[in-house]
Amino acid sequence: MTKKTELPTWLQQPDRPVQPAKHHNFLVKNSRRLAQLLQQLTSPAGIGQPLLKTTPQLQLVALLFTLLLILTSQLGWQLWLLGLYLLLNCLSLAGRQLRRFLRNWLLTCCVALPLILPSLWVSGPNVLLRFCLRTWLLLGFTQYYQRTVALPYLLSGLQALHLPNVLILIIDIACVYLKQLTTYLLASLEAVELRTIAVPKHPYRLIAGLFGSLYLKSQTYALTLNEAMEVRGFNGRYQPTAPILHSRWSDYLVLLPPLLLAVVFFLEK
Amino acid sequence: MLTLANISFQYPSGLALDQINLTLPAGAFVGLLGPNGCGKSTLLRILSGLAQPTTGTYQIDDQLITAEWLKQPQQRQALHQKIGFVFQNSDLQLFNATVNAEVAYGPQQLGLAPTVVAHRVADCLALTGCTDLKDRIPYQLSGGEKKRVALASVLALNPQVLLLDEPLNGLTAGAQQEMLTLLQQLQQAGKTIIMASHNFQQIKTYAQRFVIFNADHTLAADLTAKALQAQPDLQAELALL
Repeated sequence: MTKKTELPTWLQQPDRPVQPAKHHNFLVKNSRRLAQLLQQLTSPAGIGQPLLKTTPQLQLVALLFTLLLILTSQLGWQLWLLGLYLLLNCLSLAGRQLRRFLRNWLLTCCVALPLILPSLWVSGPNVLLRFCLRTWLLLGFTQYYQRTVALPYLLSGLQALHLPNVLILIIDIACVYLKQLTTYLLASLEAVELRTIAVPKHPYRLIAGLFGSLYLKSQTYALTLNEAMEVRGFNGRYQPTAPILHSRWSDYLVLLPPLLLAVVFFLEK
Repeated sequence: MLTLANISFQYPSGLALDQINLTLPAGAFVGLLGPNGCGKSTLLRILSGLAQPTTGTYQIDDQLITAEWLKQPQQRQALHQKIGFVFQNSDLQLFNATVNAEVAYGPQQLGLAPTVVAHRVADCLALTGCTDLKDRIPYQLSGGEKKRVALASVLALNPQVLLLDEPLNGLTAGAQQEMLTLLQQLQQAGKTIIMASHNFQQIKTYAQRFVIFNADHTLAADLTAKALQAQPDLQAELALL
């Protein structure tokens, strides 16, 4: 290793301050979003309170039942009632949570729209409208669940519902993995920001570099994790460790609204 | 001059810094010492503007650094031009396709001419002993090589204050000596070097000032090298960190 020993002149005197660009919030905004995601992944703090306080497993059952109702609803008034139910649920969210819910809901609805639109040519405008409403309701309820249940509680809920341990293990690893990648990407963005004095000359190259690096690191991480599990004697058996929250009778109240809706829909048929 | 007054920092998981008062003069070589988890890295994050203290104030020269002040992109970027930060995990800092592109990223942001950028990159690679690595992919480098490339990429920005979080970890004894000598040269050229380490033996002959933290996140001592020499008991305690 040949090494230079004398400092070059430019390193011995300060640089002229660069006139930074005015609009350069890309890194800061994305860092903020990642920090929010990380908070959601790691702790229940920052998660909204559901309309009816209950255990995660019953909340999951209520969600699945509601999604089933949406999928089987064909009439306009049924979708309207389900929409009202979603609206009622949203009222329980605090202002900040509600804003986040609406923003994410609208975003997912917009993403879903191009996938739904081709049905206009296949089945006509009436079917398209119903299809749109149902998809938006599905996304709304899923988004509401995501806003009110922290990921660690989801595991506890799945465990209480006696789902196969392998499935819980996969979700558990996915959560840990997602958390690691988010932490990694957040720290990388901070590092980029520290070295980005002006507007990046090639922002797309920067983004590509970040994602390329993230992909390589995630691959290495997955392989290392697998090796670490094998070295410690992992043989496919997994005993979930999340504490199970036992449901009381009052927790079952969360099932009442979707059940009532199901009864009304059935009677009207 | 960096001035910290009554700085505390609270993570959701607990306290990281408790009522820290420090004045770090420009052009000094400061060693931050303390046990693992005592708040050294958090202090460096505050100094770099990446984190804002929960309570207390942080000032560079006459400028108060607050969350509000950092919201302005121009001010934030001016701070980043002034302060360079080498992370503890250098993996996080390297995101370009080659080592050469990695080191060139900063000077290109400064709007320098391509010849000047090339000149700077060559200088920084030579200073850190990374010239042979210039066409390699940073992802494929060893831990020690990544550390050296990370330092080169920060040096290329020519910051006036250099923050280093455990920069000697993963380096061979020879490479550690070389890095410390380079840091000493930079300090002699007028740059402020603030380096977190838990290895007192490595930095005792280089640092001019030692800021020592307790495990409970409070400041244990802030001593000059001379004052520390007069306290053999404390030196023995630090050697066991």
